[in-house]
Amino acid sequence: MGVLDALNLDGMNVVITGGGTGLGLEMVRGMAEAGANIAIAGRRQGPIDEAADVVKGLGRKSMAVSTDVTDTSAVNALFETVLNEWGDVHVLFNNAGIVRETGRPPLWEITDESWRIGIETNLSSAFYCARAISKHMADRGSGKIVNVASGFGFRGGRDNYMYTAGKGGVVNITRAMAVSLGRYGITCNAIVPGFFPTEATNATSMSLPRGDLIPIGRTGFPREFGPVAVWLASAASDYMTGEMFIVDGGGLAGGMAPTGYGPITELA
Amino acid sequence: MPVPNDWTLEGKVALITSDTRGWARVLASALAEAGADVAVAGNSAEYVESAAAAVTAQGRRSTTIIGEFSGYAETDAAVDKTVSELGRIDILVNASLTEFGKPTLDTTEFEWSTVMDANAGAAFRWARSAGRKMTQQGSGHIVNIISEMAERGLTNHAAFSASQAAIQQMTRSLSLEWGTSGVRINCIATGWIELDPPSLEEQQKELLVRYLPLRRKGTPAEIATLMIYLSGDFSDFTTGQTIFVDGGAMAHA
Repeated sequence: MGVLDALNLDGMNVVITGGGTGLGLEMVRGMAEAGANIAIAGRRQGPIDEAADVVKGLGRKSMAVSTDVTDTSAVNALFETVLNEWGDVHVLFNNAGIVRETGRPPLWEITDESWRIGIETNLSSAFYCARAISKHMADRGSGKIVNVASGFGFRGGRDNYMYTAGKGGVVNITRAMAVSLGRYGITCNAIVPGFFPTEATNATSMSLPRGDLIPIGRTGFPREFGPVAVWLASAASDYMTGEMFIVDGGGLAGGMAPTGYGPITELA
Repeated sequence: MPVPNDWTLEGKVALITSDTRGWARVLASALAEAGADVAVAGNSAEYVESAAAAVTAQGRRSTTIIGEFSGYAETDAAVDKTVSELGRIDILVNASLTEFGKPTLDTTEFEWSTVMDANAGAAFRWARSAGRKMTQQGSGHIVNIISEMAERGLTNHAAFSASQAAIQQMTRSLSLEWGTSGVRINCIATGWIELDPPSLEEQQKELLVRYLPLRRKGTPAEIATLMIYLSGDFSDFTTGQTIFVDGGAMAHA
């Protein structure tokens, strides 16, 4: 038995929110290839049905559960459904989120409603889902919660208040859950993606930074998320909790400065 | 056993620097298990040879390089030997570490410079020597195994923690400098990891273990798959990062 055997997800039941499109779909594909059964929650039935078919096509169990993650009764019903069907949930991926409301209003024009929706979707949804399933995990004595944060959880985003504040909240609730749930055998970590062209990011008025503003010279490929999801869902990451797994082409290592900037100086 | 197809280092050649805690054997074995041939460098023949034996036990080729590696000439020569013996160099894992704890008022100039050079200086030399080949070929992965004291302070550890923070900051800058040359460089920062931790019951007697959210010590095997990830092409969008594997210590107040 080698160290790579720990990546096996055979018999693991995963619930992922926002799993029908974009990065979520690539994480679903990666985890299903590694052996996981996956319940996919999302607002739109079409994409989550298609994602469930991807999982079934790989020979795993799957279900698509239409869910508004900002509605606590819908969230509770989601986990009841999965537990009734499969008996166990081992891994929760809080992936649902919205990159931005339409438009880029200045601070003084943001309505109560758009603030509320932004925080509910980006931050509260992760809390609602974790609350709904953590007791089940604690009773079993094991579980993994993986949140999806953002570089904007660490740095400011211009005219991007709900996303920046919500993801900052995700970063720190990840730490609070890690510190609090460790004694029940539950780990909690976050994936921090950089810029990836997806349906969601393309739909915003925020243009993706050009490759020459990202240290490695390109935006990410959604498929680069599969191995990260597998690692975090598997026993291979059992000693990691409360941490941020940053996959951003080097963005947070420096900043969104033009690539190649580097004055050359000599010792006096 | 479905290991996802991505998780392979087949056809790759790694150079790992050996520590004297016994971790390099576990990590070299994991690199070989994932398919890499592995050169092992270090100043202790005992630890270097044991790591190399773990590689050949996995059916992969290995070579050993014994030395102090205190200058560019030696690290350059070690990289050259890796290429001449094993064909190329794709991966550098810097697992060597010099630990040091002493009250600052008693720390000599020699001790400060020795700790800084054995940790930060060596990591810089190895990265520079491997990075020359890697930037030329347009690909390569460097993994620095450091202590989480890069980020958290500890009494009597001013020199040691500074030497770890230096590696972390070097890693960030190199990720930018070599980002468009196809070279990726990251750190794995470890908490309380031991080769053979005592029983869980025995561990609980230590106050520091009870402070850790996961309430146990880790093992080198628990950073091995992350090291494989950071060594492979499938992690190519991950660079300049320090990933902490520490039982939750960094999340704690």
